[in-house]
Amino acid sequence: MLFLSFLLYFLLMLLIAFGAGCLGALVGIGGGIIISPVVTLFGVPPVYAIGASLIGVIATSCGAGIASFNRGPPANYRIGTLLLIAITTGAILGTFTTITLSRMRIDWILYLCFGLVLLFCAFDLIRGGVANDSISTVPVTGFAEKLKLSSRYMDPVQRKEIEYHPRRVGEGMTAMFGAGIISGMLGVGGGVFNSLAMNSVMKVPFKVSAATSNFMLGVTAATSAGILFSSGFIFPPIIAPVILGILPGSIIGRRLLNRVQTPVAKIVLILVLLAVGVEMLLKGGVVTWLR
Amino acid sequence: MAEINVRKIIRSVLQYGVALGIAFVLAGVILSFGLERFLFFPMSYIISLAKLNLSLVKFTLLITVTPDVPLALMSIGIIIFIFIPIARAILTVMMFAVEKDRLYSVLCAVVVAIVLLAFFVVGPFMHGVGR
Repeated sequence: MLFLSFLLYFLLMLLIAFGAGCLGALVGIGGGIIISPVVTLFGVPPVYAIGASLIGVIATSCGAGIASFNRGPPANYRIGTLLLIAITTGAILGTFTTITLSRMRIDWILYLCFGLVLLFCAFDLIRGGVANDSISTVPVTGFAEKLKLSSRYMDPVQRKEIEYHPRRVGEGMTAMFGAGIISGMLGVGGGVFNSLAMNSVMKVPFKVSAATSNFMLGVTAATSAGILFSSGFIFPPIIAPVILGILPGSIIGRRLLNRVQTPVAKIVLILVLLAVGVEMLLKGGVVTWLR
Repeated sequence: MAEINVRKIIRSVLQYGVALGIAFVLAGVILSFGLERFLFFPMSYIISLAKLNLSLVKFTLLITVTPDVPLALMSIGIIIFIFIPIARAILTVMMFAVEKDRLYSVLCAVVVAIVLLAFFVVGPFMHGVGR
């Protein structure tokens, strides 16, 4: 792969990023999860690949942010702000860990983490993701009440206003700190983890948590990308095809949402996640470990 | 009313920011291909260039002093992408301030401070540690 000309890398990565953006938007998990592992397959060290993925995450989150302003329930900026304190702190720790591991030349740990996260996302998609929308409609008391996180939104399907009262703020923030570490370490957006924590732990409606997660993804990715940029781990020619491919891919993916059969896109994405996940585990030396 | 206006500004920042970022990256790519810069270099050479790990200061000098226009254009595009979410967070501080929500104005300002700290302090520190 190292003897491959840059032009070929550029064209292949443009296509892969386009496909990742398109599939990610169709399935609803974002395309960033595939980018960094795939970039490493071209011989790029993980720490540089993570930068490429993070900028891709920012680009798709901006695109999705514009779309969510036009339709859908608004993000709950109070929840977003509160959780961002935990997730950005985690992202700094995660990026710090990645740079340190890279400098110590123990990249195999990163490959193993990539593999495990990819397989987790594949199995999460297989079991159906957040199947049941857990909403807390009972007013909260104590700390959660003081934080004024309760809100309401108009549900176009049920045609009624839905009031929700998020709870278990401490647990939610702890989960987000963990999501931030994973995001900073591997350059994934962490949308899957954000939605899980907000919906399953804090009982925020899925649609609101998706819009809020979008606001958080961008800021989290900017935190890690900022560190990588100012410490010299972002090299524009490696990132350019990712930006130019993933953004149009995600826009087209969102437009195709009602026309393409989502299960087909889901199966393709699951297969890609499994294949790249296993490849990453092999690169991380899991076979040697098992022996 | 004020909240709606700030939301409109946030949407505009996202729209124009993305368009501007893409324009810079695309211009850099077209120019680098036009000048046959990077084009037929093997990936190993590109990676060795990346491993120069330029600090923020050296990088600023590179894009202002040296004539490497394609790299400079792509870098500006990437900086724009990094600063779009930061601008969104700053506008969210303003949104809370307009709503007279002091608690969340302060909390959101803390988030902005963390992100800026990452870019201007943690990153350069990490660069220095590795030298």
